[in-house]
Amino acid sequence: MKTLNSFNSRSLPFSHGVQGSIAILAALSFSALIGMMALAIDLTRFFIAQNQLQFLSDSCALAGIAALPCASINSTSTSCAGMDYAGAVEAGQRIAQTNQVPGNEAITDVSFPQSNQVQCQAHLVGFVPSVLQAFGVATQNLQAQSIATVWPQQTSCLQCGHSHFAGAINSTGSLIPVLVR
Amino acid sequence: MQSQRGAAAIEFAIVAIPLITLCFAGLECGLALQRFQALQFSVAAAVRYLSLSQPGDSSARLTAQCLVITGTPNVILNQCADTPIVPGAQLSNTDICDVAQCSHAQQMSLAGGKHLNLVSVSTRDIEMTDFPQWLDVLVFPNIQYSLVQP
Repeated sequence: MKTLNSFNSRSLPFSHGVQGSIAILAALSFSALIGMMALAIDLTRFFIAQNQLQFLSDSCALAGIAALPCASINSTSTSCAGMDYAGAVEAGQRIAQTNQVPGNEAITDVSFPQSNQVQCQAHLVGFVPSVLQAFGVATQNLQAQSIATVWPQQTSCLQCGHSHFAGAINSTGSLIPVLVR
Repeated sequence: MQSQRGAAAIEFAIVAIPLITLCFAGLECGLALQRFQALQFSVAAAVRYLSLSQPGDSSARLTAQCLVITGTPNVILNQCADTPIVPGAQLSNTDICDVAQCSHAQQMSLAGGKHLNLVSVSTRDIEMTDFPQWLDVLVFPNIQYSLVQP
């Protein structure tokens, strides 16, 4: 104890006595601990929201690519006409609504970089880091992007009623296989 | 003048209680967040797995349920082979809904007359039961993901 007391009185110039010095140290360490916990919680929330947004974007691209072939379907015919770009946009945006990030409203844009590709870009504006906002950290914008490609490379419409493999490549470059009917 | 022997020890004893509580709260909080993120990944993996299978495939359904609960697709004798991501989580804590089970609710009708089958996987009331008993049991928020199915 003698060593600790002499250490406290030497190392803290603002302390006039020994009593209460641990309370000051505790207050400082509590603040640091709570700050680090807040940072960890907010960063985890940020990554969880980013993962959800990436899934939303992937699901949009996969739904779009599933709806892309066959602009018109005739149950009595196995042929179909053209690529259904309007259907792909509708399918992509509707499934994106289904997979919304809880508590936030993501905006999804569907586009077609090539005639056999569907690209979805999801934006989440105003993600609030709830704890860190108290320390002046502003709201953040998140985004995710996915591109699905009909595979093998095919620019004309697929034959209706037959299954085809398509690949969806997400932003990390991983290929997600999907069956397109 | 009073003796100051032991004053620091008493002060530390007073401060140590909230300090240790805070440290354990931080650890438990980190564990809960890590498990939630693992569950999120496993639900995404399960729905992607189901998006490649036919609606109503009971074997694929069980595999997907095990993917959600354990994070792996291993099934032995109609049971998940691996340990759950969240201790205590069971197959009944997962819901799988496809066109064979939820009928019209899982079909997306497009303006052009086309229909797409959907499959959704969700978790339900998974609890973090290994929290200290004197704390309220933490229930994870339900996670639900949907994809297009053939």
